[in-house]
Amino acid sequence: MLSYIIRRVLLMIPTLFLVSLVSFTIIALQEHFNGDFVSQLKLNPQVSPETLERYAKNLGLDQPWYVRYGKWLYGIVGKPTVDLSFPFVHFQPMDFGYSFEKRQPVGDLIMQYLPITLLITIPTFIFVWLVALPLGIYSATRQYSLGDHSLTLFSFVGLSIPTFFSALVLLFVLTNLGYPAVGGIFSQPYIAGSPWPWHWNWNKFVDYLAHLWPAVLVIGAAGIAGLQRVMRGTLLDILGSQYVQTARAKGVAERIVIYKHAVRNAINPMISIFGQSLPAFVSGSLLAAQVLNMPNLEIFYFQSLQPPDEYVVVTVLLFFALFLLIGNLIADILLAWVDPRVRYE
Amino acid sequence: MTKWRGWEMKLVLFLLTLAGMMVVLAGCGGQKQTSQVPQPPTQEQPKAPETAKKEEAPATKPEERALTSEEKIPQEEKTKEPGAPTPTPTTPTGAPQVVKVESFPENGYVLVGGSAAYNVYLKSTSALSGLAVELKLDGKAVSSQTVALAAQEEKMFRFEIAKLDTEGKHTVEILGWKGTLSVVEPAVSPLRPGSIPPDAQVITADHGIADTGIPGGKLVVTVFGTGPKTLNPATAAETSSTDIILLMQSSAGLVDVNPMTAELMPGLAKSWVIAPDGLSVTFYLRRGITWSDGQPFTADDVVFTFMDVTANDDVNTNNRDGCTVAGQFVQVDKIDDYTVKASVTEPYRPLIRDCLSLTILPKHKLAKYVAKLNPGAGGALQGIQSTVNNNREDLKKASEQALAALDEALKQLSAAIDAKNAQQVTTAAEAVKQALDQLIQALEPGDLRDALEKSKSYADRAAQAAQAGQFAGVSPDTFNNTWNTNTPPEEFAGLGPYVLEGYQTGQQVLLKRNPYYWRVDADGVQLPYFDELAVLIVQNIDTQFLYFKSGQADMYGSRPQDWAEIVGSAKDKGWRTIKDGPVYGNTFLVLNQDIAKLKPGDPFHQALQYVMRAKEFRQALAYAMNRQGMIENIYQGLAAPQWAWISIPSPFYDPESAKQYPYDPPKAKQMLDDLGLTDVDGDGTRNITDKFLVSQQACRDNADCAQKFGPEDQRDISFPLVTNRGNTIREQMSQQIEHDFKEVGIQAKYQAQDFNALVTDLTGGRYGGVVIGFTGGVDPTSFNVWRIDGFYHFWRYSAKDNPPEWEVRAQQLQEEGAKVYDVQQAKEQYYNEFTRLESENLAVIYLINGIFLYGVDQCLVNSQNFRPQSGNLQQWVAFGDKLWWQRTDDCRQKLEAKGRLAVSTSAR
Repeated sequence: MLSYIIRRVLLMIPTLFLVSLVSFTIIALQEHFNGDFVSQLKLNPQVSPETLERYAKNLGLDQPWYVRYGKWLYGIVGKPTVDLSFPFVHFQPMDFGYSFEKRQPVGDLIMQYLPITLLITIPTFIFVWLVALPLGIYSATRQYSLGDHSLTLFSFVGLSIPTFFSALVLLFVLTNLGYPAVGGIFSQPYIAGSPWPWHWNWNKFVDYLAHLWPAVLVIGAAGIAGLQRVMRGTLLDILGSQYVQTARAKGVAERIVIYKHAVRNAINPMISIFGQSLPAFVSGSLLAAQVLNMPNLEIFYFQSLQPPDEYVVVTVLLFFALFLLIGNLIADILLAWVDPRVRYE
Repeated sequence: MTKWRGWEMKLVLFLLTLAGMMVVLAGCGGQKQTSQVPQPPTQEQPKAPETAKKEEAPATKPEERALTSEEKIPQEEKTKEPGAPTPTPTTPTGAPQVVKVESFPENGYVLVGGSAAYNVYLKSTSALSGLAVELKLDGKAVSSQTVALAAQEEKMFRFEIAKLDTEGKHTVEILGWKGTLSVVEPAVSPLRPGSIPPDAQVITADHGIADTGIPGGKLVVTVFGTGPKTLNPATAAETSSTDIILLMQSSAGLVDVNPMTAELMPGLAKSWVIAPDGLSVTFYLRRGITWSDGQPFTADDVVFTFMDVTANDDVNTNNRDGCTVAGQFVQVDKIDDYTVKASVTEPYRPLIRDCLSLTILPKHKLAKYVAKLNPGAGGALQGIQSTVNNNREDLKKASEQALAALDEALKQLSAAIDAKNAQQVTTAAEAVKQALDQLIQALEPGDLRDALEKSKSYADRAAQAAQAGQFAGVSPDTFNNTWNTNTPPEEFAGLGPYVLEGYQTGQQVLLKRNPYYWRVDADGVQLPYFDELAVLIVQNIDTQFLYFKSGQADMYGSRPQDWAEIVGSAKDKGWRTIKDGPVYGNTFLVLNQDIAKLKPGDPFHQALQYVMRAKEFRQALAYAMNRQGMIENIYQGLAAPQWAWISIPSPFYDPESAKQYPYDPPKAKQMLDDLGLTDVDGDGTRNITDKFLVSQQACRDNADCAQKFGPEDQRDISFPLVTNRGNTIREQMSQQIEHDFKEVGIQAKYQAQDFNALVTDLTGGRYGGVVIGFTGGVDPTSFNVWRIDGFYHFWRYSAKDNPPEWEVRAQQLQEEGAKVYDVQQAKEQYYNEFTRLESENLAVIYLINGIFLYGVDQCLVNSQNFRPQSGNLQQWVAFGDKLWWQRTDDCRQKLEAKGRLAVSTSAR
């Protein structure tokens, strides 16, 4: 098992390298056709073409894209230098480059956006899984009942309404009802201070909850709808299988049939879904967060696309890819742990 | 049957769930209110709001008073540059006449201990010499100048009142010219720590404080977008950053812009003198004012800002172009600690507004980040190396042996710097100095010897820098990365009304009042009134409006589509609505008068070029455009047509001079018919007829035309019309234009294009028609556009080879007009003609511009003064130090509920 994990981790390195290469190439193409970071200043009569040229030079944009990519890569692996003193190759801390726009190291910027992202994604995640799994089990075990039909209807509605729209409607309704906590994660007096909950006082926590539930409801609704359908489908598959019939025929209690025999087997695909959703955990949603005014990492990434802030874009993409790989690895390990039949060599 | 019942029940269940959700929502709303934090009692202010209202803004001079009360009437009174010209009083013949007086401060208000200055322009009918002219304060002479004038000569004399000691109103008299001066006692409250220097500026009704106010409380505003990108005043390029920076670093540079009138007013310089030749401006700085960290502000900061930062090629700043006159960066010199002089090689009025009003940077905080000022050991080494390498031949002649020794020593020095060994650097630097000494002895006295002496001092500097641990010096990029949004608040120092309290990424910028701010109101109370200003960052405009509606924000610059709702609920919600004339900027359609370049060699495009170059054709199209339709359809009626290059709120704009083209399709058709552009083949589109081409002398007769440009019936007037994709307003405008042109038989084929490709085509002259815009400013000067060889002269780049007469004149008016510092004079002599000329010839056809719409909480006093004149600034920036909360019972109740009277530090 350990050797399997090590192998998987080592395999991540070429994968991530390829991800970064492909992303950087795409950004370079976008810059070629659609203009680079400096192009946004064009058509401003106050800025002369010479000034633009100097900008590009100062940002390193006068060099070809592969040189810029090479520099970035060199920084990421820690700018290795070789000399004769032990251990011969010396590394510096990882350097993801500077943001053109914000003039800060990209790593710092990601860390600035991460807390807010997690403040929303973790509760949403818990909410979605706590609600979706029981609902899925409920509708699978009571197929075609009134409850199952209402849940199906809810799923279709939840999946088909875009989240930004439901967010806007919810905010609009809340504003008209006079609800004071519309948009954002905190009310103005509580925004300052640490984003980490263990530094908060009670009032700030209450304020956070008041802002949280609309977001959890809006972002979670779509998630619940999808997850609940998957759970229902896999459980129905298994409930129709022969060993379940056998168990029932043996006279095993229905509760044990469902929870011990059926659900335990139906949970495997859910674990894969869990692994794949890890990047969403760190990115958050884009459109709903924009309407709800919650500046998460995905919004930061989106802003960096136009005008292309290339080091930010490629680093964030790399970051998401890393989490996808880690998520899949965790899912595989969990699968082996949950299901004794799964073994990796 | 059962199936039916099931569906019904599901529906009922669904509806019940919905209703349940609504109840939950409403319930939560109630709960939230009960869980609100108890607000600490607000500080009782010594003044009641009623007593705070002084007698309506006592004005300086009776003439000016009349003007202020008529402020709302546009244009006429906009002639006041700092120090309004006053009508010349009748003086006895023989004595010089006062032509005009520029008073500083221009509103006639100073603090006790402050000073005043008058630039008096005198003229005499006969020659004068040795005449003593006195400035009388309350009838007593306090300052005098000896006047010598040639006959009919106009000359400026500066009179100063060094110190005003007694509070109250005073009269000032110079040769029969009378002005008043109100001296205000500073009001320092023990509840509000702060320091008010005697040279502080008194802000009055002229500047937007109609009612003096009660300090305290907090203002919460929203800004659309992603928040500031950087907090570095030099590198910041877009408004989301500059708005915050201007509050922290001061919107005023040496001079400031009056947000009520867009005219210049004193800023950090309390007065200035423009040299008679217009080649230099001398600024007299306020004394005793301090940065927000308590360090004194002096001329060194000014010189640092211009010469070390703005002029520095390493710094990515947009400001350099505004400070460059005739290809040369403005020279800013320190005369003494409180006097600076800015010199240029030719007179250039926009210099004051675009360059000398730039935010001044604190040298004591920022100098250490500027590479130029911190060469380090490596930089010093480079200095020596370049001297040696540039003079290698001469040095070789002087002493080959000493040169070899020097090269060896320099090599050692370089190695020592690379190894970061201070001891070795010192030793190597000594060796370098010895080798240099040998060379110096071998040389005759002269430039080279001096250069080597200087190199010796570089060697010393290298050693010193190495001892201090500075080997590489500061990287050229360091300054660009300085003062970003992650910089701790204590690293900043500014002269603005607020200082940074904290930035929460993507959420808010929290500012608190600067206790060292150098402006007071007419009661002597230090500004700003608010203790805190929170700028919430909102990613979505709809959400931004919801923030205002739910009371989480106190003002909202409205979109046209929100205006009806704001006006509708203004009464219930207690909002003030402000609607004013169009904002700065211009959107226009430009037709390519070099359209042959679009398809080189194509005879049709060559024929089309004759059409595009016909002034009457462009005028006809201007008449064919339904601007009112655009205003109704795109802006819900909340826009105004624009007719000229100069923005309507600008004091330089003259509505009389701009030729207007009201919607008149019959007239447009008539004009096109008159040109000979008729529809010869009956397909609904006009043709470039032979008659037209002959009249333009493009060809001699029908046969010649057909041979040159192809058959007449295939020459339908048709060209591509492009705008940038994603700008919905321009897209809608273009569609309407396409439609309007079709009505008069012209085919404009609209398509959207990506911005970058569009700009490339536009500046390359390869396009048909483009709808695009510029953000306008106050000053009409734009050489990049109006010079015939300008980079943005995109309607006719070929004009530089064969310029049309009117373009030559327009360029001349732009260039000559920019040399005149007096706005009114410049307007009368140059810009009115410029406007007439360009609106007649229509290089570009102007479209419409949105109007100024604002919703504000009614309890916010002085917000009634919001107006488009303050330019592209947010109103909370332009008025950030002038607003205050009304404390009537209604307001107090509402504001306490919203938490505006308590500061946020108590809630955390």
